[in-house]
Amino acid sequence: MELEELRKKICDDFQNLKLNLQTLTELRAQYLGKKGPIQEMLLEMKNLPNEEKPKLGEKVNALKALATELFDEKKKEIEDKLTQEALSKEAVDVTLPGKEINTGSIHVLNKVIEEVEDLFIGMGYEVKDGPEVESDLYNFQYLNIPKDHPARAMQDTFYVDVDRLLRTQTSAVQAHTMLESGGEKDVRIICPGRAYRRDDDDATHSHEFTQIEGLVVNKDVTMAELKGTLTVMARKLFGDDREIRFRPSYFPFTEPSIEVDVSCFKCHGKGCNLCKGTGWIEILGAGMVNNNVLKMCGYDPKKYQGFAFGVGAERIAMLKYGIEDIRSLYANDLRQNKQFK
Amino acid sequence: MLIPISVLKKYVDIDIDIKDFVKNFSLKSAEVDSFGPFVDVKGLVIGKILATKDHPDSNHLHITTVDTKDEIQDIVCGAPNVMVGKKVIVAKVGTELPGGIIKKAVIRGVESCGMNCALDEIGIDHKFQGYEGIYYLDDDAPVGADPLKYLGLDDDVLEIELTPNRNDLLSIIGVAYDTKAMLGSKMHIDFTKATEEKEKADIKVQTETPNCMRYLSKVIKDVEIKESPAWLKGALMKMDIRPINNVVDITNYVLMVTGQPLHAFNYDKIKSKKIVVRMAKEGETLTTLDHQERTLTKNDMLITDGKKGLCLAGVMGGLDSEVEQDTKNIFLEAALFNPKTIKETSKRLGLSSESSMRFEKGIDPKMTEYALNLAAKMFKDIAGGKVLSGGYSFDNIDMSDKIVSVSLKTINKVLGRTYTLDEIKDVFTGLSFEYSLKGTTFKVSIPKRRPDIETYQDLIEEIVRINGYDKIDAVIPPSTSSGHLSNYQAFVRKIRHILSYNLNETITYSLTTQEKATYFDNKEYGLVKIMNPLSDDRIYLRHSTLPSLIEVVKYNQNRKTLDNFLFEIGRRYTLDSEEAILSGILTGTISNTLWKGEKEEVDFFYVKGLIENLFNKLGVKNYSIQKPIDALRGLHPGVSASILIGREEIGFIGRLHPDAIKYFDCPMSFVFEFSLEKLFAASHPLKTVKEISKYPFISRDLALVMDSDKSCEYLISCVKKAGKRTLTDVKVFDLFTGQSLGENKKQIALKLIFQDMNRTLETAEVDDLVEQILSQLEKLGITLRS
Repeated sequence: MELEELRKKICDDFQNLKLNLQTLTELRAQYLGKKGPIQEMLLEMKNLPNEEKPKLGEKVNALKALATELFDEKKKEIEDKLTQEALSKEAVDVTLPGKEINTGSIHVLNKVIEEVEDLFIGMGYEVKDGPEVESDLYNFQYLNIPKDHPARAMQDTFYVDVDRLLRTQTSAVQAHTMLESGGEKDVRIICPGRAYRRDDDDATHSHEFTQIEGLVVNKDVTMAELKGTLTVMARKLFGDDREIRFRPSYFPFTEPSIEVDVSCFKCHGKGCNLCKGTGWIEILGAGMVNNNVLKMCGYDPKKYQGFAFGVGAERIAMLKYGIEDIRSLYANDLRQNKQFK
Repeated sequence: MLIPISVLKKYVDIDIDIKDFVKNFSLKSAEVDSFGPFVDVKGLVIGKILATKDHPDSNHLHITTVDTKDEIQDIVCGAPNVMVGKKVIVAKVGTELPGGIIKKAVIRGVESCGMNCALDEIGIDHKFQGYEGIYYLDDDAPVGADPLKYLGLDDDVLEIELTPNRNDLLSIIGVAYDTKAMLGSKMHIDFTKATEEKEKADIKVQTETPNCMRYLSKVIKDVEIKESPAWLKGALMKMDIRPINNVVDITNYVLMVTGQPLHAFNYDKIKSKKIVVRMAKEGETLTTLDHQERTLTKNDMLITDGKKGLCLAGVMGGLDSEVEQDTKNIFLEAALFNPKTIKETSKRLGLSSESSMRFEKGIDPKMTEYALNLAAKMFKDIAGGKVLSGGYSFDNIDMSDKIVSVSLKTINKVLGRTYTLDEIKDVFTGLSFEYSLKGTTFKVSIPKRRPDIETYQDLIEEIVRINGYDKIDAVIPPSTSSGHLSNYQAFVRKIRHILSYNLNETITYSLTTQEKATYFDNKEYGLVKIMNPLSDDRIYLRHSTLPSLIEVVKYNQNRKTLDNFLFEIGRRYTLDSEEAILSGILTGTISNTLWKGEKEEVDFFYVKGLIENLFNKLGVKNYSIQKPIDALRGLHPGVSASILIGREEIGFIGRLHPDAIKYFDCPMSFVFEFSLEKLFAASHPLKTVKEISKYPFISRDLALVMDSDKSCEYLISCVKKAGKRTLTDVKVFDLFTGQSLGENKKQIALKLIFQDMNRTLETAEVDDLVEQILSQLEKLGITLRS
């Protein structure tokens, strides 16, 4: 066969080939195999005179390269098509729903506690807790609330017996911590935990609730530092542009005692239903530790002073997330709980 | 405490906008509960009923013709008490009342141009009117004028909430002192006495008990008992006190203004002309004003005429010496009694009043005389009485002031602000505290009205509040120590975060019933019982959280949330200890892809896997989950297991017993509960990594047949024992319990993994090992499936 004719045929054959890997392989064998026309031409070259050999050799080799290239091209084309076909067969409707696994959640009160704990840990505090069945001594007397003190009426108490009760505040932990410190060490603690009051449950009262108390005792802590600390907390919980203000109040374990308001995060101080038009929302009670408490807990008030504060985790959760009924925090309706991831 | 601003202004100047004053008050004195006009209605006028006739089309309506000076109009009125000539409060058309805007209306064919008002229609409590129908003003009320102004009710009222330390604010004068301090304004107290008659009071006063510390009195003769003038009635209403008659009203008014309770006796009933204060005899009786005969004890204090009781001191007057409509002469008492005695009597008899409450909290002794004189003057001015001179009294009160010192250095050190001496002086002067200054140390005389001030800390509070809390800067304290969670606290948090991936955390009440508290352990030992519970379902602290979790499942299922996967980190309470426990309940479908036909219901092994994964994640060593030695209470005996650390049982998992499901009326659920503290003790952080073999492993699958009462764990432990060190892992991949195996047999398929740390294993040696394992198993009655 003439070289030129062969070249034309090869080109035609590869071009007209149906996309099929098997026929392609056959075609390759047909042209490029050991018994194929190209190989044959190469074999026949030994009969040619020497001076013609390079010329023809060059041509045949070029044809061989062309055929190989055509084949490779075609092969890739076929393989690509096959891959495409397979991919399109495997394609899924990605908008069908994924596997449903029950979405878990952390209770909002623990979310609040962890947030507050982390904030105070960052400020050098340790986290402490104590027993919920507490002695009258730790819950009241060490906090400057002797028997018959009018402040006892402020927090009606569940009693277990004459001397034991369900703690009405986690401040009881503070007395434990101070006494354990032996009156010498600085104290910097945050005490989250459950407390109890003999209150009928309604939208704003709960007989069980979650208190977070803080206490700092050292030689030079001031009310200005209390304000600084609580400002940091208010901003962490309610937004960076919050301000706080102090108002006079009374707690037997602190003197001076204050109520702390945070500027309303809903209306930014203009006055709205959340802040009852005042621009401020009451969030917690605080004060400088009463010297009687320091004394009873083994600290010399001439050398040491302290500040303390107590905030309800429920109050924070309700304000922060717009929860209206405190009882819903204990009902655990999963439609509410699951919103806290 | 309710403070009518007009009454307060009699005692102290308030020169700033009243709203600013109220804000100041809340920031410097006490919490403001409310503030606003006593009556929030504008445009009311005084009218006179000129004529009245029956409505032609009604048997209870009247048509009144009312003169309001500017006009004379007809008003249809449904009140039963319409009377010609009476002065009334008229709300004309357009007036906005609490119940709505008054409109011109045609009532059954008759046009009505307004409303004749009862007090409750303008927003005043009905109790202040005392009768049905429209409210009548005194005959001297000027027609066309503002009735609120006439009644003294065009006033703002400040309601404050008092903390137990600020009993000094239980009087208008007490509030005036704080007002003066915060505004730097002037107070006005007129200490002059009423002009007295030449006639001297001929009554002797003595006490036989130290519980009466002071007793001052006045005799006022020829008193005319009648209704009080409008301003006095108005003042009392604003303080939520119902006007009765001028005598009662005067004593009540003076009480509210000064904080000093007064008692008025019918002078003519004190025949002995003698007052003896003594403790009652055990069993002695006195009929009090409310017509109750009271049996007294030796702890009650009596005011007597020397023989019989006239008045239960500080608590309630006696009926016999009561001031009545025809009483002419009055014996007026202003006394100081031991707060404890009054408190006991008032508590025992359940009699609490504005007076007894003030006696209990303690009274400023400097007000006693002022109160008596103020009342005497009012009796003279309002009731036409003659104040007799003299009046026996006695006094066992130490009037000297307490001295408290504080230095500028201490003030600055506590508050963290640099005050000037002048700022401090201003506060003390404002509060009318006398002081002397030596260097930078203030020696302050604390007036009797402020018994709450005992230490320098109390003085610092006065300084910071009056000077202003807003003057304190917010200073971030320097952090001197590094804070952290304890390992245990971090452990508990980690558990919460792991479980919260697909379980929902709950928080439930710890107080419950006895049956629920002990349902899952049946142990009454150490049960914490509340002495004074509020309700039957909250008496005991729980031993297990599970009953509460079951309630949560029911709550949610009732609201159509059927799948519940809950956990709670709670406590198990006994009298000697509180143990942290982790509890959980799972019921329903834990995962599904329904459109693929895949759905996974919770079962025992899901819960077991959950616990095992948790334990592995926490690095808990040496745990096992085993068939319980004794049946677990509340759990299915065949589908429950103990959780052990070593040999110690720390908790359980299992399916609820059908009896429990019936008892709680709840769905079939799987539960777990175990001690967190014991789990923590068994958890160990990774210290060094285990070496990984570089050589390939060889695996062999064996289907082994054994007695069905033998446990899978037994099989695996037998295999491991026989397989020695080269057997690195055993996995269960099938369970078969068909009849073809024979009676009471089961087949468990295991995949055995063999691997050596130091070399590639030969097939032949693995075959040998398998043979050895099988022959060991055969001795134990476990055979290879043929």
